[in-house]
Amino acid sequence: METRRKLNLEKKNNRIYMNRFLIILSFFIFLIILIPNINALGITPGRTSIDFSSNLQKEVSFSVINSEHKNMNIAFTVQGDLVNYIEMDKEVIAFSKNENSKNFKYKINLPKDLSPGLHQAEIIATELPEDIEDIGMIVKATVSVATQLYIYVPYPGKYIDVNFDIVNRENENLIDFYLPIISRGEEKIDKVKGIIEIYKDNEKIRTLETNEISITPGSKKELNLNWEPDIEPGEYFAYAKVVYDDKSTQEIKKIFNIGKENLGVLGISVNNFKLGDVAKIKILVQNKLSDEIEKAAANLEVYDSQLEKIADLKSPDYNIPAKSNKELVLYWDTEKIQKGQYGSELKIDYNNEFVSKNFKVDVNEDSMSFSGVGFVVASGDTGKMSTTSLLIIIIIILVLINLAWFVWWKRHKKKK
Amino acid sequence: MKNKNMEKKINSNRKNKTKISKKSKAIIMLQLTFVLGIFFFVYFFAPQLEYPKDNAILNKKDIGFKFKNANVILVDTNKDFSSPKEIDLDSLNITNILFEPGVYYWRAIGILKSPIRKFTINSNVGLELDKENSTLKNIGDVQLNITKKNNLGVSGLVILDIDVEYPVQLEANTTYHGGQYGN
Repeated sequence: METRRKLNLEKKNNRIYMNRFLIILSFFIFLIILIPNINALGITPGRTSIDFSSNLQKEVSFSVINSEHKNMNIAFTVQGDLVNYIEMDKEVIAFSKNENSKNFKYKINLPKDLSPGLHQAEIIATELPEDIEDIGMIVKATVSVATQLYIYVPYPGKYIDVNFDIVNRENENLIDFYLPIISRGEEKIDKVKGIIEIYKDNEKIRTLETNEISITPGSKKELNLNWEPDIEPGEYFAYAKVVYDDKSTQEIKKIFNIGKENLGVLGISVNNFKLGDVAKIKILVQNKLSDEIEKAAANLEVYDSQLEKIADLKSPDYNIPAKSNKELVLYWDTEKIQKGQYGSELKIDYNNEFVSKNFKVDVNEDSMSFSGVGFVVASGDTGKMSTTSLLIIIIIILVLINLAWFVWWKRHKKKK
Repeated sequence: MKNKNMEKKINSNRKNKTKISKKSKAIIMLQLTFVLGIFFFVYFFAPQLEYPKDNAILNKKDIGFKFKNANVILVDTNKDFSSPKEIDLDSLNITNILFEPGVYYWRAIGILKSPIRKFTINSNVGLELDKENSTLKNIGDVQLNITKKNNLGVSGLVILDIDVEYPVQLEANTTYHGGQYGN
């Protein structure tokens, strides 16, 4: 009886201990859930770009975003080669969980002179735990974000940045060379032209020249040349540079093919496209050889109007049977892409050879089309502008006729 | 008799003067009409730009252009409009246009063309560190250049695309830093 009672008591105690243990465990689990496991921080704008002017004094506003809506401290630091010209009043500020964002300012005091080119500074916001106000006391991993300051100092006189595209119009036996240029200097350049040298095995075969244009500071244009090659088919190197006044840009080297290619690009298309979806890009190629091509892979690079690469798409490897066509497929997520025209370079590698093509990509709400080549869109100042000019001319003529008539009438009146 | 003749002369001179002043009035009225006509022509046919205002700095990316007396707008990243994109909002049946962060210039084109206006679309930089899954995520709207800063110094980690997660080995005393990538 006594033993049973003891056993019961022991069981009861065990249950109590168990319950207590469970309560404590739950409490710890609850605490772990409550402890934020995410550090997140935002800042806007990500970058402020300013053209340099001597002794410029300016205030720049930015906002820090409390993405996780939590209590925290933010420490500000400044880095970069413009650090001595930036003033930031606050070093540490506190965010409460109710505050979505806070606005701040930093002051820029630029010197009289800066060397030509790009100068940068970063105003960095680092997340600190709410009980820490010193960035040096961070023990755990954390995040920081920056709002950048870009100061562009124009190159004295004339300066040009250039890119280089080549297109082989195999069926018409034409090679198109395109040189998109950006004027980074402070003076207008009246005469700009491209010089393209064609090499085979380190031997110069031809020297070609593009059209000649003028360009104003900060603007983008394009030089081009259609060349009908009169040399043996095969693989060649092209070295391009842009010459303006007594200066020239650095040479850009590109490899290209002349003549019939063993792998032909028959077409490139996208069906059932909607902007924001993942576009299925189908490249129809033709194996002109009597042997199967193994491991052919397509690579499509897409560029925006600033010549920035915005997509680098790669297909899987394909085997293409002899004397037959095959579709190579690439996928492009267009969620962050906006409507407009883009440049692209398609390269297909096979049997240690390659074919390379340039396309313009027109992206619309419900269509994506690949066409032609080139890069910079030509001037859009067309018909409507001439109507405006015509109207202005008509108004000026009317005013002049009216004035002449009025003067004549006044004189006539005096004579009378 | 002399007096009568004199009176007649004076009266005829007065009549002539009244005739001339009537002519003058008519001519002045014509001139006024002409000037007002030109003023009204310019007012009703010159495009008027309402939004975005000149030098506006915008935190949103979809812009609803507002303008009068024009059919299309031209948008360019060049001040001199050497590579403009022509947008006809009516034919596209849209009201807003989505822009990447950057500086843009725009003008409206009707019978006449408007002056050029400038606006800036701000970029948003956002970085999330998920300690539970040991990942970094770009929660902004531009590509990020991620660097890692610890006691050993600063080292480049990854160029992180928008909404993309990147696995990291979490280390103490480390700050993962995100700054806008590209020029």
